[in-house]
Amino acid sequence: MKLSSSSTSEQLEALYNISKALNSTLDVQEVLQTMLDMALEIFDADAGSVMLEAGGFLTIHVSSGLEDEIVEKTRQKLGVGIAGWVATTGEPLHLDGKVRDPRFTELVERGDSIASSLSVPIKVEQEIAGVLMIRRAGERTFDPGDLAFLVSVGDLAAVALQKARLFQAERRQRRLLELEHQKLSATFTSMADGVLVLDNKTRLLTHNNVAQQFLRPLVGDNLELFCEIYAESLESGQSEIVAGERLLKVVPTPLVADGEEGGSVLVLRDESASRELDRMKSEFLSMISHELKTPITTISAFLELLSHREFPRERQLHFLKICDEECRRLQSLIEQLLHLTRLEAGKFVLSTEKRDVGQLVRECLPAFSEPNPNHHFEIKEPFPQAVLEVDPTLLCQAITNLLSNAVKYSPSGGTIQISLEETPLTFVLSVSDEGVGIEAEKIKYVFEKFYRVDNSLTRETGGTGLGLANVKHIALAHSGRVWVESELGKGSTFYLELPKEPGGQ
Amino acid sequence: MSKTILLVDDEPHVLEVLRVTLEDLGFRTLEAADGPGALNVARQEKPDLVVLDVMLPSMSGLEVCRTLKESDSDTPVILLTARSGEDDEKAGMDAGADRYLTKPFSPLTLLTEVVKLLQLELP
Repeated sequence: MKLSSSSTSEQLEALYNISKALNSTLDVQEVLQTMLDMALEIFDADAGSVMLEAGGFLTIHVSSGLEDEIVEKTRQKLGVGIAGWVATTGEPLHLDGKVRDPRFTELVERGDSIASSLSVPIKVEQEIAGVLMIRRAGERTFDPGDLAFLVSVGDLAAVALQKARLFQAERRQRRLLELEHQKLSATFTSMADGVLVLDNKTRLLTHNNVAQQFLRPLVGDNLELFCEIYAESLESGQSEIVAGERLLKVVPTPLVADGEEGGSVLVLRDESASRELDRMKSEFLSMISHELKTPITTISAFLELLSHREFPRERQLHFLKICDEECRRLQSLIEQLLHLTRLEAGKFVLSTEKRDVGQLVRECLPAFSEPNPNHHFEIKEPFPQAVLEVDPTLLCQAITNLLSNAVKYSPSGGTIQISLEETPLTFVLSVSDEGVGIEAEKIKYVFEKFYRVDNSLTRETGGTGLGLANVKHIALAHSGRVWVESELGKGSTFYLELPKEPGGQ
Repeated sequence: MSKTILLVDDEPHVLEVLRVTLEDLGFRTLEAADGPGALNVARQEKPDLVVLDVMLPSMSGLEVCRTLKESDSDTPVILLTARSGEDDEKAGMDAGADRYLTKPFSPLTLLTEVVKLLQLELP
């Protein structure tokens, strides 16, 4: 369809076609390209461009028949040049022949022969969004009526442009919302707490998988049932429920949406771990009180006997010697407690010196091998030379605790093997026994303070539950680490690793 | 004929102070350091009374007490333990103990209870 003269019905048809074409897409670039292509066809033009305004400048967004360099470089300041003038004044412009018009300052003179050009503004809501320009080369000029018609094309394009821009903005917004939603939903799904959202009639609105998992032992997958039950307990102020092996703390919070309260958010927190810690603490207290009472029992009973009964001098001295030993035992227990507290607080200052770790092990050993004839202590010789900067007192304590642990947890005796091995960066000391071993799920707790493997040996071994915790903290103080490998019924191997360079691990 | 008392405790020094406490009145004492050992000695020697610790290796003193009472409910058992909670005492009496004494203990109190349980005259 080409329009050389202005026939109203042809123009209307052309506008209708343009409008239809523009409505077929919501992509800004495509809208502009369609508009330009149709304008070039309708007006039989050789070249044209659509410039859009941003930040006070016009740049070419789509073009036809223009050199790439011009398209890329054109950056027209508002008020400058033809397009700048059209964009600033909002007036359409028809120019024939070489332009020598004082209205257009700083007009760039070009060598090509522009016979005629039409420039119209693209107005979106009274704002000039850009300029549509078409031109013919050679001698063919535009008809006077063409400009008015191009203005209508420009107006149509403006509507399509606005629509496309709104759509784009909306799509961007939607994508942001989706992203936001994804983030929230990921948080909701992967948080450690269970969450149930109820409306004001305690009906379930939504929940996360954790909540379902937590409550399955109570109500299976019927969370609605839980909500019904919970409605009552919320009133009675109950805030802890037992679900299977878990102790759940229920924290209700009013649900506030758009500033209005409606329903509630229930957060279900697994308190089992902290209850386990409480249990360990109270067990520790009971253990420590037993441990403290034992020496006091001996001392006080002997003191009472000594003050009420006559004994030969020799027996008196013997009883006093026992009391003295028990006093030392009390003292060492208290020291160990304080020690751990200091190590835990990280306030311990190491008094280090260069010592051979293997030699330290040999020095600690006799205190164990002599009173434990049922155990066979085997040093895996030869020890490598392992001269390190260590705190010998602390390290001896760690070694002693490991050996004492090995003895305690192998009540029927057996071999206790001690080895010291060199790795590129460290030395690894290991103590293995043929004792009762540790259940797999309890291994992670053994270096925790208060923790004592909970079986029949727990109480009888008379440990404080502090020994391994002390070993761990002593290793940490030397930039080292501890770990254990164990099989129930077969025995355990405890490892203490020390770096060759302090802080080198 | 002097009475025989079985002392059960895993602490050698506690055993010693119990022995000293009781020997003065002419009691014969037997010793065991754990539950199975205690049951063994009890079976063979038929003591007249048992002084029993609760926190023992490999077998709780409460279990030892129950087993002793099952085979011979007439032999008095005194539980002597560091566990001083009310629950602990109830568990001890439920296990069939005749007396529940807590550590640290007074030798004189223990002697008094032993004498009472054996229906002897205090010297």
